[in-house]
Amino acid sequence: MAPDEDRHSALKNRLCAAVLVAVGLAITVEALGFRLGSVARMGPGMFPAILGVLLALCGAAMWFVRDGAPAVPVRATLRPVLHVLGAMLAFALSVEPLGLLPATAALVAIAGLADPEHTWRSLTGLFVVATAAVLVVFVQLIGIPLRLPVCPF
Amino acid sequence: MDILANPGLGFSVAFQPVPLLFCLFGVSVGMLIGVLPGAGATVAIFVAYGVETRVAKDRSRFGKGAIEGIAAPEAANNAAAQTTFIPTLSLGIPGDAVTALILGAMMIHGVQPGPGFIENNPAVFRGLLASFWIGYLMLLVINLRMIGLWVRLLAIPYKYLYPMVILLICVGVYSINNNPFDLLVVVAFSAIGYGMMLAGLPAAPLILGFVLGPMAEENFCRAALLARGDLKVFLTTPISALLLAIAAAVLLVPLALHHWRRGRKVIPDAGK
Repeated sequence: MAPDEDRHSALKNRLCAAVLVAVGLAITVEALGFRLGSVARMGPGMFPAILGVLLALCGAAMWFVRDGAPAVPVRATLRPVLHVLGAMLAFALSVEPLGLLPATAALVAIAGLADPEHTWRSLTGLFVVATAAVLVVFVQLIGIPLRLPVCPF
Repeated sequence: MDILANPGLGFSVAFQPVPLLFCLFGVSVGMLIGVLPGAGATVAIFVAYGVETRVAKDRSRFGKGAIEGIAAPEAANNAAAQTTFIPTLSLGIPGDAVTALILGAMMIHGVQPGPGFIENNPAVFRGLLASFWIGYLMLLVINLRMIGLWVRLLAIPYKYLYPMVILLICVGVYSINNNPFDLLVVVAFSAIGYGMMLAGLPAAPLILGFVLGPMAEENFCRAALLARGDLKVFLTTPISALLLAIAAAVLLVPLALHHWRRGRKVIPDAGK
């Protein structure tokens, strides 16, 4: 393993460990808000508290011990992630006030623009095919009552 | 007749002694791995393939369509897919993410897995077995007729595939409750999942935790209550002690092996 790569995977390991410790501690603090009870008669907070402490301990162990598996380098690519999450968010926010078709259009447009190869023409075609697929599968075959209208009035 | 000749050729290859041997080998590996709680078909495939590549005389053929390399992992996959139901139904411990989902679905419908599952729910159990048979028959028919279609489906450019996948996820989730909040949950967990992928954290333990958590809590509290708060009961009861020992071994043995190996590698260097 190249020294740079090794340092990168060590950093990632530390980051993972820190996240696990943080999540474990957060769970424990949250669990302490409930009644703990005794070991023989456990309250609702006891089991989550135990799990939180165990998770934090595992995270702490990870900080010091690293497994020998070579880390698969995954390149963080921000643009597609934001597009995909944004597309789902747009669908979530528009499906109720506007209906299914505008929501689908928003989703296809935002998700499609993550790929620079897409043109407005290819996206329009995709929108038509996608809408047809949703209408046939969900509305016709499964019979789910989805609100379609393009405009709210 | 193309449709009869192709399977004929397939069976004549598969029933030669060597591939059959590898199939049997894959089935045994798959069965053993599948019974282990928490290790499903995916693990079985990799174990079978790994052992296969070590046993094979001519390793260079692997990755180029060697029949052993296909037969054993594929047999292991199918064997493990069935045996993974053993811990799922008898102990309520799902073997992998798929059986975890099935377990969740059964509990929603009030079917409680456990040692008495077959006696209590004979219809569900026999129905499950029958569905395995029907499933394989359907696979046979579907794949013989439509294998060309599946291959062409793989050729659809990714840029058209991924917006469709996202759309189907969104419409599918929304159609369950007609509640946009469910979609916001999906967005949040997508972000968390991407973060986990970047960090190299596997998703299967999270799903197992979700399914097993309530059962673990209930039974842990019950055991502590029955033992009057004496937690030594988990070490003095043989079954529980054995399972705890296995869990500890699974956690510690790879670490110890890794350190041992690294230690051996370092010593010759130090001697120079």
